[in-house]
Amino acid sequence: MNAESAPQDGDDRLIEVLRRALAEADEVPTEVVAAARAAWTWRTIDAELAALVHDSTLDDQELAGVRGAATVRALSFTVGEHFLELEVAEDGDRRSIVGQVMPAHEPGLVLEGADGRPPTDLAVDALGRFSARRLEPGLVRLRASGGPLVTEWVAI
Amino acid sequence: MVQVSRSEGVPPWASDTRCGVILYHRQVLDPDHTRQLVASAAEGDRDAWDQLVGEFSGLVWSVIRGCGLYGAEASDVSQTVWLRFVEHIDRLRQTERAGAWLATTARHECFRVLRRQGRQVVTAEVPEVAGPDDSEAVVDALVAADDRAVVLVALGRIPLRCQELLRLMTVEPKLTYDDIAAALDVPRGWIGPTRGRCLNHLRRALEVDAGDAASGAARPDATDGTGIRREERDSGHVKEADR
Repeated sequence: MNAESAPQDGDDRLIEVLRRALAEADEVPTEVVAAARAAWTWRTIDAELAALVHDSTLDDQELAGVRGAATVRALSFTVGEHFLELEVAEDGDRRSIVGQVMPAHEPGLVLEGADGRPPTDLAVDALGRFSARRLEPGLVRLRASGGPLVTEWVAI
Repeated sequence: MVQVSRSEGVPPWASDTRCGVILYHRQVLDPDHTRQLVASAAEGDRDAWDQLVGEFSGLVWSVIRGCGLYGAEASDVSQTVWLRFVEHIDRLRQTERAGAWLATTARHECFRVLRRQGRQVVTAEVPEVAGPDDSEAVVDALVAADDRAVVLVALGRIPLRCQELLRLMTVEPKLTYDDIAAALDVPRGWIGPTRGRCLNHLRRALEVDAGDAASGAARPDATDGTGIRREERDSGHVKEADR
């Protein structure tokens, strides 16, 4: 019998076989579920969430696919009149960041890590520039000290 | 604590609990139920959040695994997706479509990782392929043997696009076609025909694997290795030799 004319229940049966195989082999790891639950602790109320609107590794086609060379990744976040640019450089197993927040938020920024690392205070100059070196890689976000502005999470 | 009402006779939380995740029997999620959970979580109800994780962590994981990510990379993408969900939970427009939002976000974040690594992102169409002559027999043999490893090996050999689709089709709780379409960024009408093609690919892979298991090392001379072999075939002895 040609499979094209196979009855629908044959397809459903195969899906069921597959489902059972995957349910056993591909169960969500407990630590992954625990991390998903723990994401709740990063909930922010009334934050002005600056969305990641540009990621050079995604948007610059000519850069995508280039590996090995020491590349700098450029990220842009924006919400309302706020604009935040970030350049991330790989330094071995550490990361360096250089950025600018506009308008300049002189009280400074705080870098938070989803891995629960202690928050890092970043000084911001009159032009909105800031930098940090030797950061652990991971999921991070930047928050304006004493303000509602916070960026989306991004892996550096 | 969120109050969830369901129709009489249907257990609200079916089945067993493993690894802290509530596993459901094959039931489609009730959109009202999802909407209520999202609304409660957005108002600060942590129980509702935990229930959302229970409902959708399998979906998110399935999308990530379907993209071909494993281990720490897969875990990182999962965490990114859930952190994004926390950020956006009070901004979702169609709260009953939280599953589609999570699936789409998971796929997007997967692609971000793949692109950063210079790996190929597969969005090609699935080529048409005829199923084996006796496709029912292939499935019959599979069910009889109850050999799940064979199924997983076969799954790993079919086009990636098919692996993505078939994984989504087996997620618990069962996804709607609208959610699957959103997750794969395809029109709804793409799913039915592609599902058929993908199952044919899977059947063929299963047939090949079954053939390998049946013959394999037991017949090392079955290939065109030697002149003697070819002479046998040319003189019509091939059937004899193959028995």
